[in-house]
Amino acid sequence: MNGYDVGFAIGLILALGMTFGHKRAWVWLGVWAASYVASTIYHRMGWPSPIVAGSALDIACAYAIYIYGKTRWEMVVGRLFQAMLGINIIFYAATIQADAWGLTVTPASQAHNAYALMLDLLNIAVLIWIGINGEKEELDNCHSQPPPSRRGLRGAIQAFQRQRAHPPFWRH
Amino acid sequence: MMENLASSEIAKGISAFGGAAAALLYTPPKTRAEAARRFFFAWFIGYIGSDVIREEFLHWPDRGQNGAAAAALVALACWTLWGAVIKAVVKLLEMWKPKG
Repeated sequence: MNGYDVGFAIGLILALGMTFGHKRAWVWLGVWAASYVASTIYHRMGWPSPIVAGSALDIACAYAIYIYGKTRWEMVVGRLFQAMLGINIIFYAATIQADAWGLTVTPASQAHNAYALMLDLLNIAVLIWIGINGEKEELDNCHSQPPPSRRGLRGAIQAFQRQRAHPPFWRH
Repeated sequence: MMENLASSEIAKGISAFGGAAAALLYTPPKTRAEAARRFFFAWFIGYIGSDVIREEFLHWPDRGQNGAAAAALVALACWTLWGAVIKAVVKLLEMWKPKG
């Protein structure tokens, strides 16, 4: 484990603590952690095409959320996984294009660092987003009455607790 | 030689499938019929057209993984293109629809 892994482990523990007792948040945190651990192990073992493996894991996570997600905030988690998938696709295509032009993208290059940074930021965003919304839902579950509508940031967060706008296409 | 060709074709087919599956997440279809039509269109064009796109436009070297990557990209693009074409056709038909 390096510094990044320790940082993400602390972030995961904090998010788990913030969403204590909220099963859906814990499930998606578990899915995120499994995806992160699997892609990190794959990458560090030096197996072929780690970007493709990472993309496959992102697709699996995004599909899990598309199929089983119920609320709007869960759909945003899905969009974050899709953003990671998009970055993987763009970077993979860019490395092949660079190869075709006779250039090489090394792990120490700025392009690779920017790619890794974007993925890290999105991973942090997933933890923060699940932590904030899971905590909110946990608080709301304590009330028997629906909470009054609020304005500002709390109101915006509350809006994401509503049911998702579109169910999966086979349930139409 | 034949084994390499077969494995690269299978890789292309699987990649096109993956590209279409990824595209479905970005712009989900409304119905099962639309999903089936768009998926087949994206997969088929991704599988058939990837070599032309790779050689003529992208100029990627002829390697198995490049062919597979091109198939996924073309399938992804075709899924989006299908939606755009359908929207354009609907708009065109609406333009000709009698008002009243």
